[in-house]
Amino acid sequence: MKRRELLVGAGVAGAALAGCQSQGEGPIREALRSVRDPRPHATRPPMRPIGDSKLLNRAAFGPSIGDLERVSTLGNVGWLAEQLKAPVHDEEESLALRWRLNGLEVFRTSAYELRDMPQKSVMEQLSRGAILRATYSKWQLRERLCDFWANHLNIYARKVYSAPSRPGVAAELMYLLPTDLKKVVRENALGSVKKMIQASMHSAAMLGYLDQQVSDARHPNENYARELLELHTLGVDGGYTQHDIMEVARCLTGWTIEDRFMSGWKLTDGLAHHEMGSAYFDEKRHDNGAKVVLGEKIPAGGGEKDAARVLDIVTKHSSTARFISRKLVHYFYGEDEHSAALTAKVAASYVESGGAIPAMMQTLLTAPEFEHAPPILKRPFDFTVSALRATNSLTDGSKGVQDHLTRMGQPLYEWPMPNGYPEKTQAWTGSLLARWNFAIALTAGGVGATQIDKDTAAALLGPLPEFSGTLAERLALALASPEFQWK
Amino acid sequence: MSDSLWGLCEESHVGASSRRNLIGGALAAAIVAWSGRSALAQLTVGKTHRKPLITIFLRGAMDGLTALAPIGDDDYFKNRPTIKVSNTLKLDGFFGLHPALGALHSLYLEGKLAPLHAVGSLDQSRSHFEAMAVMERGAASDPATIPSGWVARYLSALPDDNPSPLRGVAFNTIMPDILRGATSAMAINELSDLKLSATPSLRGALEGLYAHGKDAAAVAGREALEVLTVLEKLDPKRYVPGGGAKYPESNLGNGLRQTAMLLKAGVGVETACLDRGGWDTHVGQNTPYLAQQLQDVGDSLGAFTKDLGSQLDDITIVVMTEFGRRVAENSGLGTDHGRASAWFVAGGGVKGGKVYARWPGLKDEQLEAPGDLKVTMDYRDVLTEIVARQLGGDKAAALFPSAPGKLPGLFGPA
Repeated sequence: MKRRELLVGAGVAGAALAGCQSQGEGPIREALRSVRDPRPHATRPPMRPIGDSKLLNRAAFGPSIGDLERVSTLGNVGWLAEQLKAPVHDEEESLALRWRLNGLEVFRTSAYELRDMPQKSVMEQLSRGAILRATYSKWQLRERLCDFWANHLNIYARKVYSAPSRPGVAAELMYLLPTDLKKVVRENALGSVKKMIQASMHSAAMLGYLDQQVSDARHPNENYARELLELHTLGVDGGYTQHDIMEVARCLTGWTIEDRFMSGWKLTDGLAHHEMGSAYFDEKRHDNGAKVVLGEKIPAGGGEKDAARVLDIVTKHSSTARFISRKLVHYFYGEDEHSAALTAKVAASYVESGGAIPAMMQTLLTAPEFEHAPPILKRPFDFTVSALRATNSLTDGSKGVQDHLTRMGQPLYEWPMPNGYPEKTQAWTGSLLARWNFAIALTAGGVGATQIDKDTAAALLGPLPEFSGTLAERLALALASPEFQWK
Repeated sequence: MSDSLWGLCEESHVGASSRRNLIGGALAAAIVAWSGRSALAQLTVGKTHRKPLITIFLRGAMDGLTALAPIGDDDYFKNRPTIKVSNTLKLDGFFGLHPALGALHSLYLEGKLAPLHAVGSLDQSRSHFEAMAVMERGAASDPATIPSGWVARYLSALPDDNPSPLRGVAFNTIMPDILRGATSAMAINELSDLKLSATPSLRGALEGLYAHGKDAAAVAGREALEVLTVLEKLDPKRYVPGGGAKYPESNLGNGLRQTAMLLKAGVGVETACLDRGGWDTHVGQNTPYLAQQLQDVGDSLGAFTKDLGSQLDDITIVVMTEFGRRVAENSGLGTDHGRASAWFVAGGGVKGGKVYARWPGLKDEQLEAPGDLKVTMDYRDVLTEIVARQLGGDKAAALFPSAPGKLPGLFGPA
């Protein structure tokens, strides 16, 4: 079935290239649409307005015509069960979404070759990937979690990192980021916390972001060790000391980035293609003495296994269960007098399942509290994608949309600090004017490479605010209203 | 429930036949709102006699030992054989300014700049986020004890006679914690971005949607609409700085340029909060990077003070950072997270031309483990003195509960 779709797609693309023009509603036109248009195909008009779609507002990027239908077919429980089994690959995505994603070179080119791509294009493609997937992926919960984990393990794409032991040689981190987003974030978004942290500890982008690549036995650099404990696992109140940070830093010495290509080494100099820009362990830089991390002894001579011991110690720690659960609860549920109790339930799932993310999400999203979750102010990315979905927009997620995101204060992968974009309401109330301008531009056809579907939008966003102007203006008011800023 | 979805609750029950009335009602409400705002503008413009407070937060822990080098302390050179600053600009003989801070040196010589050293908080986490959270709230060490930002508290402690929505301005993409809890404050990137691309009738309808709600979005929306009206009278493109000042083409330069414009326009700005990131120099302090960072801060402040001319007498500027960096350089020729750092206070009334420091020394036994400059001046004492200029001593002290109260005397004896 899928293969046939692909063949049809290829045939159609060939026909289009040959200059064939199809008229009317023929099979060719229909096939062409399936290649070009990643929007969902609904068999009937939406049944309800978006106001009561708590599950889709939280576990998806807001309701789309497709997900509303899926939820009404499967029910909340069935929809969630399906979402929790999302694959890590794209094979089950629509042909049109895969077509668009395939156009993004950053995700299928090695760091070594990416160096030749202008920075602007790298950033543009990274953001495009996120916008397209969030808007059109059928695996909405996975994409939600990608947003969550990409912020939890935030990396500032524009950081310039220096090469270990190569004075004056430096490179932009953005070339290493696509691998991180794929191998750390997306592949583990619905996997296990331990595997994700492990992948992150071996992510060249993360090491470069937090200066781990220059850390060695003589002078361990504390930056990554600190954030590993403070932001990635135990949390700032997690019960570690400055001494623990220094011990973790010692354990991690030697983990660095293969960067010889930065000083002119070529494949012909004996480096394998896949090694370029990846993380590796350099035994000579490692501090092989004994260490004590959070009260646990790590004997001397552990070499690269020290990092694995640190991973064990921090991911099985009860503070990590609590800290990550609290963040998940804040992100998916919000904050009120029930969030502490819900956090305890999710943390219990972490402990029982050994940090299995689907188990934690199941607990969180099916808890009785979830039905009465307090409102959360959408962040700009959330607002933008939910607007694209509610208006059943056809977009390629390129500069047109991205410029608006920047004006709203959330250019993707550009939060400089390792704590990720803030979640609190107060941080985002200043962005309303930019949101209004996006709402007005989107509905008026003024966002580049993006067009809305007015009829579906009117059904999904209805009842629209009363106003004597055009339908587009009434849609703009709906998206600009205080209500649409919340989820 | 869907009837009340768009904030048109009462009217939308009346049915389709009276839609026209409804529109009329919304327009009428909008007109009232409009006239209300123009009254506000009249009231505000040029009327506030407050002395504006400008905060510049150097985020990422600025290395005070580089910006304000203790060249009279031999241990400084021992700890930093490679990254020491040797060609400093002369202050009092013991401290020297980094050569990239020439603009600050001029202010110092004019008596308008007070460098401070060994400033910090009680927070020992050495975590950027924890330490910033502490400093933005005015807390001792636990940020959770105080939910609001100290600038927000400062604004609400002042008499409630300035209705401007621009009382607090943050030149930032997001509202920083320092202004958290302020109701008449906005985060803005660029003044010129602050326009709504809507027809007057669409704008009127939008104002109707935001007219009554009590949620944070509705409240913020009403403020944004008020700000728009105020700003539509200004034109950033045609702004010519005073005194021939030239701002650097940087975020900070641009933010200060726009701050100056707002201050001169008299739109009721009482405080502006700016940020400058990029100080987390774990590596490469021997490269020109840190000097360029400092140059930008110095040149931006130099242009700002020149631009404001005599208006500077009414303004206080504080340049702060969450903590300093380790005294000894590391193998990457950078420095790790430390404790105390250097701050700067500038503007009218400050007794400048003098370095304020209770120098703790840099010998091993004088450092705080694992090798950091001790905090001998609590940052809250610095801020207490600054806000006391507007609030008076008692209210100022109340903003920073349990501060030690060892005031440095920046504005002379009280």
